[in-house]
Amino acid sequence: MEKLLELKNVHVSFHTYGGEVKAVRGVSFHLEKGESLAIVGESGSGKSVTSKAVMRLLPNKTSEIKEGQILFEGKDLARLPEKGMEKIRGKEISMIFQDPMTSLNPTMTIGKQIMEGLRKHQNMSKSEAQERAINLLKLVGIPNPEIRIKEYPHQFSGGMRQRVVIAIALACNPKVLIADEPTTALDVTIQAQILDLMRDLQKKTGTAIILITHDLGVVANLAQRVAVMYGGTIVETGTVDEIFYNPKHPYTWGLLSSMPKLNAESKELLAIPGTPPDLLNPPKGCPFAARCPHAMQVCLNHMPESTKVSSTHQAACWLLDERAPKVEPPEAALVGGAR
Amino acid sequence: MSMTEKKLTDDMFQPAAMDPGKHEEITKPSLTYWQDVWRRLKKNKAAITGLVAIILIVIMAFVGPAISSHGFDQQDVRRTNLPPKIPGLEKVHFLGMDGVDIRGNDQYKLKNIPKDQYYWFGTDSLGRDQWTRIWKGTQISLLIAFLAAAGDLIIGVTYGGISGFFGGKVDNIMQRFVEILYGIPNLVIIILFILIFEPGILSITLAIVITGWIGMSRLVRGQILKLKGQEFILASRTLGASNGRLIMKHLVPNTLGIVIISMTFSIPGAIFFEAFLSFIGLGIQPPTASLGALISDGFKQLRIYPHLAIYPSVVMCILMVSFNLIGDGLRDALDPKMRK
Amino acid sequence: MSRYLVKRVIYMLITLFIIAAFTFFLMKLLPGSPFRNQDKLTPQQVHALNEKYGLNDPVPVQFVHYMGKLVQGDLGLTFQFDGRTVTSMIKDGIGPSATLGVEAIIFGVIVGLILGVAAALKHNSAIDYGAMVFAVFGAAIPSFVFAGLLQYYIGVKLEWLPVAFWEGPKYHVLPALALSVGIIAQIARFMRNEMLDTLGQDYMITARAKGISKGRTIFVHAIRNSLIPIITILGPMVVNVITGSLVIENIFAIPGIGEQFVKSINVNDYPMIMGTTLFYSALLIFSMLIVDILYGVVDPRIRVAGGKSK
Repeated sequence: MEKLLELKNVHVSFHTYGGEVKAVRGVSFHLEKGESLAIVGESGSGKSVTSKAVMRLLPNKTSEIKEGQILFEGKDLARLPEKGMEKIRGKEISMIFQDPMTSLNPTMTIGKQIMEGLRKHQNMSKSEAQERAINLLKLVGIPNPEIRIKEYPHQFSGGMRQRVVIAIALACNPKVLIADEPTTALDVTIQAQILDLMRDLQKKTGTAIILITHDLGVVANLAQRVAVMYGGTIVETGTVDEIFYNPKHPYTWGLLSSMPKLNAESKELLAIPGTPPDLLNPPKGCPFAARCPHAMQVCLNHMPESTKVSSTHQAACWLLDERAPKVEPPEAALVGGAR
Repeated sequence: MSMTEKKLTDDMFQPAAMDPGKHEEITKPSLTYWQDVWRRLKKNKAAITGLVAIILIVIMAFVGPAISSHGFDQQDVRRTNLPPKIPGLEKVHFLGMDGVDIRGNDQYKLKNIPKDQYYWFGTDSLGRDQWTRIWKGTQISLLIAFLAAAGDLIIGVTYGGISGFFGGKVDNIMQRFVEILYGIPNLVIIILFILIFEPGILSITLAIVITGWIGMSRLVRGQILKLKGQEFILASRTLGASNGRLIMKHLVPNTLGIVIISMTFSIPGAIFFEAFLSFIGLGIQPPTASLGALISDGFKQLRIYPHLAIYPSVVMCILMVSFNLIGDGLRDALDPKMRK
Repeated sequence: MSRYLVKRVIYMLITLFIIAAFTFFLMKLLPGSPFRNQDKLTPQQVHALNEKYGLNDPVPVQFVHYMGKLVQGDLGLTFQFDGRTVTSMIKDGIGPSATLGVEAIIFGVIVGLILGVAAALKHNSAIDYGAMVFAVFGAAIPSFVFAGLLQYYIGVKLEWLPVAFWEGPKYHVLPALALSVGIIAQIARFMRNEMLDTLGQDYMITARAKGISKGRTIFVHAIRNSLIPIITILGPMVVNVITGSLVIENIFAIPGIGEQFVKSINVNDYPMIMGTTLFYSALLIFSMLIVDILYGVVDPRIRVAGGKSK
């Protein structure tokens, strides 16, 4: 498999009145052609910032990609000028956002919003673009596309709007689709429909997907590989099976334990105590140390290196060091998700 | 890597004692809502400047006439249209405080005024001291403005409060009435009102209130309707809170903010309308003067005696700008979400 | 939409009728005599004059009479000049007044929009602060103070432009400028806040994620969406312009409706006051209606829903 997109040691900082917020601290991962990778983590873990950094959609004035490379087909996007980036966005890499209620322009027809990108990237005439837009709407399962193309976002329901957003993203057949919490703002029944649609479309178009979510259920549904993010770093990566059945990082254990399970004996929902670290003043050691039930002295002062578990599975935790005591994952995490 | 490896000793791999509650401790003292508002307002330099300017002007409005030796309606035909002259500042010619008019004549010499006689802001066409008249005028303008704001407050809050709180039929009827009143331009109402009643402090105030309260009542009604739909009111009701408690504990505190903001803006509005009425000949009648009347009179002789218009204009502008700055500051302080 | 429109027009007519009735009866209560030099007239002459203007009839009769004529656009005879109708006086004044108002609005809106957009795009920069300081002062200080300043410094001291009267394009500059300061301030401030709001919206990111250039996202998405709420302040703006023009026309001796109105107040010219008041009311109410309709046309959320959602 060839690497379509590769992030190497990416650091992103925001400049605020309080100081420099180091939102992403040395993230590396890669995406292969046609695969889907899920980035999982709680809010504030840096997963959205990472994805926006790939698209270079972070505010220019207040944020900065401090170091690292974002390689897309050999080109370093982190250093690409704005004009060059415009040719990538929407055409090669496109993005769908969390809230379909606010991510569409309320005063522009759906058709125009789909056609905007087509006309820019593919030099289509108006009628060609319109025809393509109708086909796209059909593709994402919107009935009567010929009529609906002339309607405004407020005339669509939430689920329908998200389909429109997906249609916009897929308009120019991008090689990578970044989906930032695509189902979080939707009703549960609609969530399943949208996930089915995305899986379907991936089969049809072969687009690689980066799925950003905090919902492990969504991960199990759509992804082949998973990266778990915490405190601006990736703490564990692996295939879905490896993450669900053989998790190595205590944070991943916590995530898995906190998933509600139908067959669990305990009726109680397990939470991870505490709050994520303050990235204005990130801890010197492991970001999870303060909340980790197995924290050791070393965790407080030394950032753990990424340790290979298998060829596809890596985790950054001192527990994997041979000097560390053997710790077994908790019972709740071992149930292995909802599968 | 090898360097860090060396530093890691086996004893570092012992479990660390962690206090999970530690980093969740709240270290800052908690503030009440109004303390927080005041703290935010204090940070707003523009609003504080405005506040200081208003306090100074209010003090001057009362102290100013007293420290001058000339009465506000004391006429003296031998001393008409004198330019300003201030002891000390008279030496600095470009300030225009040296008793010399725009043609370069020293009017004080020409009119044989004793050397120790000063008219700080000059005199008007009847020889009255402009300094005293300006501060007296400020008094009148402020009086009208505060009375009008108080009137807006009382009528607007009562009407809007009743309409919003009871809702339903009461609200419906009350709102139809407001709708018709609202449709009539306030300019028209104010002019007609002053035409019937002779212009005076009271009639001008009433004319301003008669249209001004509508805005306030709509704000209050809107806010109360919004609040009524929110969960915490419902929760309070479910727990058996009486109407009185609901009003005092929930509705009043949550409406106070917009009421205060609206009042800070209705004060400059009233000052403006008073001045406007003077300009169209429906203002305060002489010998009483307001800022608007002074400016309007001054404009008639702007080309020859600019000082008559400039000083009252400056005082009025400072007042208007200051109230607006405070209003903006309060809006930001009371509703940080609105902040841009 | 059409049902809503009919309802609004009916409301408008009712309001106008109420104002007309109100104005009429209030005028009857007014102190002062309508005729110049009444002291010098004999009682017979006064009676004859009253007869001529229909002032001897019972008040309700006068009212019906007045309303009847009003519907035909006849506002009666002015007391100031023999034989001239109020309608013709208003017609004479409307030219300068409308010209001045339109010039001030066009200039003010254009400058205000540019200033507001620039301030938002350069948020927290010197441009932003400068524009906002100007907006605070421009909105707080009444237009007649600006009129005086302009007249004195540019007209009298520098002698660049004529101080008063209405005799050619040069004469328009100062009064239009004085009248537009408030508009610029209001629009600039409103536009800035709307733009900042729009720029922070998710759909702006969606637009950029499509690969559209920054310029196009600003013009096609941000400015367009920010302009819609601007329409809501056009109504109050027209009111401000009319209020301001009453005074500005007097300061610059412009023969417009505002100047006539103030003059008629000073000489108790009842029909003229009533006529002008009604004219202003109709103008204001009508412009509010236009603004409402415009809002519905421009904003698809309201247009399709077929009603006002406030």
